[in-house]
Amino acid sequence: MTKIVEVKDLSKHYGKVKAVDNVSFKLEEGKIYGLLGRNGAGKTTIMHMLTAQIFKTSGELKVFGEEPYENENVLNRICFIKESQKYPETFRVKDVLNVSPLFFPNWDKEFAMALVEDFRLPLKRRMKKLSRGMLSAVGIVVGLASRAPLTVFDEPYLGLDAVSRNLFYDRLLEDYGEHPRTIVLSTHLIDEVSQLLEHVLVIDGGKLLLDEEAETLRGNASNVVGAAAKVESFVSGKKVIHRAPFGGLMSATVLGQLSAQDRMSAVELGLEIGPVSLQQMVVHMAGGNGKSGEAAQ
Amino acid sequence: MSRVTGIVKTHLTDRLSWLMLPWIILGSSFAVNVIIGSLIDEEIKTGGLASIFIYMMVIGIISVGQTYPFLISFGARRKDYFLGTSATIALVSAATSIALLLVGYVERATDYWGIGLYFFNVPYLTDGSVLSQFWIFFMIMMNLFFCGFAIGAVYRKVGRNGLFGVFIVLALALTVAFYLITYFDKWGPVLDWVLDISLFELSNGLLVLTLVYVAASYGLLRKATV
Repeated sequence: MTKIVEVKDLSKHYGKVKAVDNVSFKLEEGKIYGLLGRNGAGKTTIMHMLTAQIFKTSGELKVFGEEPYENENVLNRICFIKESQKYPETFRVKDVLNVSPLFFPNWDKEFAMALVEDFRLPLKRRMKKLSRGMLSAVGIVVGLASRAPLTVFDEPYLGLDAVSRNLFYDRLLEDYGEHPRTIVLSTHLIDEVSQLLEHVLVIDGGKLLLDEEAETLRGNASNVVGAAAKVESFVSGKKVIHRAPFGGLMSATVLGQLSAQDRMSAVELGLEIGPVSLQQMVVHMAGGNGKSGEAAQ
Repeated sequence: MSRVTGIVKTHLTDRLSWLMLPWIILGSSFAVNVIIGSLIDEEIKTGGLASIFIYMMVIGIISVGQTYPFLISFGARRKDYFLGTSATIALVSAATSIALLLVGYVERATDYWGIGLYFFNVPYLTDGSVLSQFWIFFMIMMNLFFCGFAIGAVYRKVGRNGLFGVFIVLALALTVAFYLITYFDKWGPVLDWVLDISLFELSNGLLVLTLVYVAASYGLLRKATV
């Protein structure tokens, strides 16, 4: 597999605030990645550094094998659509679509026009007059029609209604099937995208908590429910990322594959074992109490 | 190179700001002068032409704020953004200067619009040959454009407080200079020097100043974030 992005010990500090702290990961060609985490976790900062829009404090950063800063080879192969994308005030929707091919060599005009129809975008309206949802839709059109080898969507569907969000997922998958490329979806609407993702990165407090294939991950955590004492004895020695006692009962989320023996003993103890959705997992790992984050490492 | 053309095209997509507004502003100033000129019998020499030059500085300031974040996040290199924006400024300055010279010719040919209105012909600036007239128009325009561009670039790099800081330093420098001139009683020679500047020297001076702005803007934008 060709490595599209290689990040090693990447950090970004603002004074004493460590927005991104010693993060290392790799992105491979032709996969859909999910970059998940809470608001302010450092997702956007990482992507800004990948596209040389802000500068790293330390660490190594290679995109398509090269440093991205002022590097035409790298920059014209990336399309990064962020939630706070700014457009010149006087631009209309069609002006944005007209200048896009000047910066994205793989631009497909017909596809862009079809998407404009799908999202019912008014071509002649000025960008600053668009609603939040329409603004997001313009970003999605640019991101999809650019067909950039590395396409990054940062919270792409702010203000989009459910119909449009589904449309986005459908078009993304369809076009990805015909024109494979590397796609990074950064979002907190995890349940909605969890079926699309092939690989998951979870960030919290500027640190990388998880870097795992979505497939492995799906069977990699379980919810154990039963009498508190029995649950405790069952989970001892396992990685517990979340505990929720209620009354004499307890629900615990365990990380790691359960063996057949584990399942047998759970039955004997009268415990119920259920699956954990990706969203729940991220919530627990990046969740309210700081301890859970440490437990996961 | 294709990216630089792309950036020029992106700028000129905003035809209103770059190509139409300067002439709308100049046109309204001209219209007012024509009305006044037709009401009184004297010759009128006005500074109305300055409006188009000042507008160029305004668009220099505005364009960085509007287009830099947009183009950088569309994957333009900072260098290409700078080259493309400079090329746009040079193109618009050249085209506007030529247009001004043509209207100035019409003004002379119609005997100053028949009402003695010297609007596009300004004493001193338009005294020389066509080429020198073009050069001085072009240089003034480039100078103001890049001055605005440099202000926009300072703002991009260091934000609002940084911009205040730069202006405070400039104001201090001027104050000190004025104080020193007064202290050593040199206002006479200074004014003589200013009055003695020839058109040729003026345009050269502007060229040097413009290059300073260019270097400063490039240095700042290279390191500016979005």
